[in-house]
Amino acid sequence: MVTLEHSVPRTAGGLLEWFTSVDHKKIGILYLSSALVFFVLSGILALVMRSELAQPGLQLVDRQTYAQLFTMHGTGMMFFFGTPMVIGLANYFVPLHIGAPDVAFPRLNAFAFWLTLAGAVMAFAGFLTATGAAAFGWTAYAPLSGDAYSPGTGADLWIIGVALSGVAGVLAAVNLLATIFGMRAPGMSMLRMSIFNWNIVVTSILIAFSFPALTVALALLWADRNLGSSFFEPAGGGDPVLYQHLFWFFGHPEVYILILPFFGIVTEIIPVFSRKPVFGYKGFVFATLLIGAYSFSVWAHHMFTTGAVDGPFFSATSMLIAVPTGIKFFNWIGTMWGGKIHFQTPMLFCAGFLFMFLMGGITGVFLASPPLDYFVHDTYYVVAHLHYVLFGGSVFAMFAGLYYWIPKMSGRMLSEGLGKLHFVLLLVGMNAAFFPMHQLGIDGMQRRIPDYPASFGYAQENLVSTAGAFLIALAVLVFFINLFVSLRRGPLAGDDPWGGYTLEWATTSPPPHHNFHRLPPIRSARPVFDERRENAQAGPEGGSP
Amino acid sequence: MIEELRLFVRIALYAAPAAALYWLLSSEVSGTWMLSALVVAVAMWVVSATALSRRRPQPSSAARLLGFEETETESQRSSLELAPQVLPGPSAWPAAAALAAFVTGLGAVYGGWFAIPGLLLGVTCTVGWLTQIQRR
Repeated sequence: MVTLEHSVPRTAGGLLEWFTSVDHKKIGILYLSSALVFFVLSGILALVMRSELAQPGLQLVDRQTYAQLFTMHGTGMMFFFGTPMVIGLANYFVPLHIGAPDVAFPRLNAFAFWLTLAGAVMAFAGFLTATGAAAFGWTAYAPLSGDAYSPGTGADLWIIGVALSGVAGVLAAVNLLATIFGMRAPGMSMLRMSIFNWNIVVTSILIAFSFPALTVALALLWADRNLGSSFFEPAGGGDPVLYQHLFWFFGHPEVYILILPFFGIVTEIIPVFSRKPVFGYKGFVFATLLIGAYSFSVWAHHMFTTGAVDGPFFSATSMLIAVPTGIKFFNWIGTMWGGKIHFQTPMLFCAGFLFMFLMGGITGVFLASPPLDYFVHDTYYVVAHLHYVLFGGSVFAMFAGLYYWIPKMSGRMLSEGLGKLHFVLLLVGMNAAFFPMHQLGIDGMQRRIPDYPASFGYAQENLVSTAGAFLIALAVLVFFINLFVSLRRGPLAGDDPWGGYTLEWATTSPPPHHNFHRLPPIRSARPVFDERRENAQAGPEGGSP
Repeated sequence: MIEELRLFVRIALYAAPAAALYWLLSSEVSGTWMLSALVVAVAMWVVSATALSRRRPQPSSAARLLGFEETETESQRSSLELAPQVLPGPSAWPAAAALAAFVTGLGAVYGGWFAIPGLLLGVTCTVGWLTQIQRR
């Protein structure tokens, strides 16, 4: 056992403490809270869209407003919910997992959070302008996003807001890499780190190398709109396809930025609730690295229909990603195989994740084939695929992680009954909302269009999909009720309510300012389990102090 | 540091042939440049990591750069000394600096007048931030 001494700084107290704190745990909670706020906001935008689409004709919003809704829904979910959620969880748990007292650059960490929030507020502030928010889709393809087709300040606010949050993402990623590379406790070698941490390493590398491409694309777009340049304007000799190259060189790694950390969360939870060590530790590490590397060479599968990219190259590399993902699935199943599985709420969400993400992954293999992609490009089939990956994958794993880790963060358990109700509602709602979209896409329904003729036969699937969306909203409401009630009156969690394996379970719930009063000896990837076993073998009087 | 180094070497080993293959197959300029830039960026990380790891034992062979094995010495090593550590206290400068970036950003949308207070606040934050670090 190693005893750690730290001098604990004075804190401001009250609300001011949250504005001035540089403690990674508080910054992590700020990230998570802001991400959940934008999850709800962007979700409300989706509900308005789904209400509009429930039946043919325009009932609630006009076409321009609808364009703003889907733009800000995508923007909110990708930039201001997904990425901050990833960084927030990493902020809170990376130092705990490696036995560090904080991140490498605490003030920079705080700056990155506030910059992310500033970017989010700026992008959403477009709704308050006379011309409304940006209305060119979250991808902001040129020349649609140029001054000619998207006049008004809402579009410029979007560009600057997203650019600010992109810079913040790079700062956070560099900070996390420096923390993991430089602040691991004695004995915590790279190959003893949790799989969650490995996924954060690869995610941070993806952020550090892909976000600059987005920043460049946005800077050039801003210059086209405001300085009269023609980087993406064909009339001035520019190339709109260049924008797509730059955007998707960021955009496809972004998908893995939004899924890899959640792979890590699931890989932490499944062994604990299966009462087994993780199956194939090095296989997981290898597969994570491979996914990270591949993700940089698949970007133009989003651009098959431009006709300006090499279809076979991007088809082959896109399909190759199924191999490391398959390794992960094999290892997850191998971890559960023969284990004593406990289906408490975190594990239920992991099981849901496995099935839902598998669906998204398989439809992704179809989309990697250019002939099929030409057929369903920009249809609801793509929307269904994206949501099975990012909602069925990331959001299910996020809830698994929240149910698993909120007891550590708050010291109180969330209600199991409400958690299971949340899971069932979310599972049913998600499939009702997104499964019919596959058929709609195959039938030819285009995305980003608020209306469709009744004669096209889309009405029934759209109605089911809208009902599913409201069921998802109900499920999320149950989660927030659970959170609100349990954080006040939930049973105390204790230090290690699940019998966890990794270092966060060796400290108090919630952890002290400096994280650890003592660290167990680290001789494997499961130091807390090792210590518990040694204590059990030593008997009640022979345990380590 | 060796496992961290391997991480970036592996990415470069994938990205370099991917860039070459992509150019041979497509002759497409922007994608080839981006993949090549990735190789350069990764190489810069490798150089930095190598420079940092010079204080410690170097890998004995190229095989160690590519493998998944690490020695007991590596696994027990840590850059975190267990001497008493001082955690930084609360600071308003990071939030203020983000506000400065926000106001400066508004200048890019609404005109230079917004950028001026943003830049002034930014300079104030930089000075305040550095002074706070120096005092501690």
